[in-house]
Amino acid sequence: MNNIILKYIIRFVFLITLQVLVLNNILFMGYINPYIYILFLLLLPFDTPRWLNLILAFCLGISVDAFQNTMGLHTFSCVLIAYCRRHILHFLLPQLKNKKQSNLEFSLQEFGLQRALIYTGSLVFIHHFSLFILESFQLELIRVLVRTLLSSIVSITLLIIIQFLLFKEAKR
Amino acid sequence: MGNLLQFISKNHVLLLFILLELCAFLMIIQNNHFQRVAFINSTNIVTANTFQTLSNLKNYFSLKKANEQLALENANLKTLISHKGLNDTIASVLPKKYIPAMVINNSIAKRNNYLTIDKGIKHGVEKGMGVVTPNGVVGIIKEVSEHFSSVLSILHGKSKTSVVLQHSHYFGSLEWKGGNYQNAVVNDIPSHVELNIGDTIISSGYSSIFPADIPIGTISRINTKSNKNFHQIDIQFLEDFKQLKYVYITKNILSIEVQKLESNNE
Repeated sequence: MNNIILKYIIRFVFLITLQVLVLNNILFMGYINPYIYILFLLLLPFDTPRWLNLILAFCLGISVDAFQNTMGLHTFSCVLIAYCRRHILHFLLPQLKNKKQSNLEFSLQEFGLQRALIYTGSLVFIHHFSLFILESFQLELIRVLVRTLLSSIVSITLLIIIQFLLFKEAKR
Repeated sequence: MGNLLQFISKNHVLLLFILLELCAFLMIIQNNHFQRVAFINSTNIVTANTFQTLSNLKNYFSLKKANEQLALENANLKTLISHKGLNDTIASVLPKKYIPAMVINNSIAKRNNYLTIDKGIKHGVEKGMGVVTPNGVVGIIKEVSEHFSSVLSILHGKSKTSVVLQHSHYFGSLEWKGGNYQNAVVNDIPSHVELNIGDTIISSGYSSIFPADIPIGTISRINTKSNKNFHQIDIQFLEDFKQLKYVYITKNILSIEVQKLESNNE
């Protein structure tokens, strides 16, 4: 048990470091800023209590915000996707509703590329869209949508690759 | 209380979600300069627009009152002007009192027309006062009740109004012969006076009922027979009596004195 908690703490720290130190300095074409730290939320075990989900998302968001001086922006989006995650999971994997599977987390190998794409894609889109719309804080939908789409594509690609590598490693 | 606790435990995830999102949103507003400014500005826009709309609405409902106030003020100003004697004829130097009134009933189609206005004894209206607008003479007060007065319209067989030509000051009398409410006839202007179509006819002020120099109409046709001593002129009223809404009741404060003096002559 302790082992698992430690694993998630390390993942938490690693993802935030990666995001803050590397990816935040990348700005493709002045538009695209990939956010991959939400991988932490995507890969939480399915049986995590829902309130814990939300609290963890809050902590994750506020940590990223603290480094970027954007208090609240990422927190808002993270809590939002943490709340949506369960509904999307239940939609994609109806069998989850009944079974109590402990410590099972989302994996590319187990659920297939198609499901992984929908799962990752929808959450990334929600996260990016809410983030960019809060950032611009005006009703310029088209600009926000373009930004969301472009950034989402990069983020999704990166996330899928990371998941692929991660589970390949884990399987070995 | 039990229900409340039950509700909270049942929806604790949703409540936590809302709480956290609210925290995040408050942080955004609190800590990010741009968002704070934008938020405050947009709320200002919303509140300002709301207040503006509200006051526009209020203004709309108070239009009637505003109109009445303006009319009243107008009347006061006119009284002031006539007291100061800015006009140069003797008749108009006589102090006059104006009372604004609203037409509540009007007729133009009969041979003998009357109007009803919403001012009566209570407002200082008396029998025999004149009723005018800035564009013409309307009539003479015929009957007065507590709150209303009946006006013998200029569009009446018995009404004769003393008028003068604006440019030459020859006087004549205006009568309405029935028919079109926009036209009337002016008699008694000597035939040697040169007239042009379009000349303006104004009130004379001789009767001390109406103030002098109110434009009444313009000459639309001159049909004078060569063997007659007087012109017969058709005029067109400037005022559209069909759309009459606000009028002034005029009282010549010294008219009694004038009448007394004139009656001594006989």
